[in-house]
Amino acid sequence: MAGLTPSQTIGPFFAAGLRWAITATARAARGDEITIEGRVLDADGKPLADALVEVWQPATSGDALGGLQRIATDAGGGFRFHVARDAVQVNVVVLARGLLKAACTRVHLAADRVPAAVPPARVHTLVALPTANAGRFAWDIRLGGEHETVFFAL
Amino acid sequence: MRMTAGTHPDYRWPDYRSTLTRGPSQPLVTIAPGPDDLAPLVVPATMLAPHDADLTRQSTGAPLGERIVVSGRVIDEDGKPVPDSLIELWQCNAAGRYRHPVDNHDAPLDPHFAGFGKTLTDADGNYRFITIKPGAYPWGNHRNAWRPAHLHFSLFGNVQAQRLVTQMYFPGDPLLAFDPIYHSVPAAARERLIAAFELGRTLEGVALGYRFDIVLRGRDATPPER
Ligand SMILES: [Fe+2]
Repeated sequence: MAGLTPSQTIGPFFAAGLRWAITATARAARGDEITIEGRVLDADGKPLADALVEVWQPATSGDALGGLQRIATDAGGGFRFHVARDAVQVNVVVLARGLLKAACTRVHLAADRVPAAVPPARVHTLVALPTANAGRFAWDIRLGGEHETVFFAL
Repeated sequence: MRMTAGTHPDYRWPDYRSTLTRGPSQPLVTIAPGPDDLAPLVVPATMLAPHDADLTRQSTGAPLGERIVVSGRVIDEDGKPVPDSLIELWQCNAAGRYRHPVDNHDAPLDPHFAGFGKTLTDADGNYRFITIKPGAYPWGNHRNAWRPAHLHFSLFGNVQAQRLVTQMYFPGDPLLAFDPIYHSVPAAARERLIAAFELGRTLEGVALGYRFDIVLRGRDATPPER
């Protein structure tokens, strides 16, 4: 077996180099989709203005780059993406300065869809909640702190 | 991105300060890959522009710095090639400055160097970039902290589970000994991040050649023991 190449941080300066796919995969919500909005937060609750969020769903024919949506967080740590209302599995990968390897998680629209391996007390960290706006759900990604999001070893 | 004991850094590495607030501290939850993790990822060749893999030819003039060729092969841990897969590359210029709004290092921008490119591996997993050797730059992590010269790599592999973001370093760089990001990798795996200088890859009269082979998770890999 060949030795795996180790991971290193994406660093703070990826924006220009990776923007092409941010642009290529940016799109409006489709008819069967809802929108998830939130922020990436550190252990102190401070937003990450320099994180990259990659969201993977099964590819459909209208996709630019497989089922990928690539989003750079804004100055307030904010992100927004769209997922199928009946999605079974939505993988979310967070990359940032200070993350030596990707933080891999999943987002669900109902607690009963969360994998059984997740400790019950942490299930809520993987569930996006409906908001007052139809078709809009709220979900934050917390890299630490009391409500740290569950991350997976796949 | 898959985690295998002994290869990847831990999330929290105190010498790299920002890992302490940004690196998760709860144990990772192990789950089997779902069908989406193993679904093939096809990147349309139409996403590539003619000079995407030659960072020295993306402007109206030549960038300053030492021209280099960086090439190698992307395989999986079973030794099989990873063909037709996307590689993204980004870097600072020869003076150590990124073309990026938050890079305030007092070094000049190069009007002829954007510092990023992309390519697809061929049917055997081979890739090749032409670029210039990046400079070192200070980063404020600790007193007199300078990053060794490095290229940032982003690889998609053939399936989502193979996604990898990493950095390539240059042989003999004296700054490697002091770099906490490099040292966050377990000692046995660290040197895999250092390219090899090869005269055979050098373009005579044009550019020095470096080999950087990359090994991704196997497509069918099971979760690591924890
Ligand atoms: Fe860098």
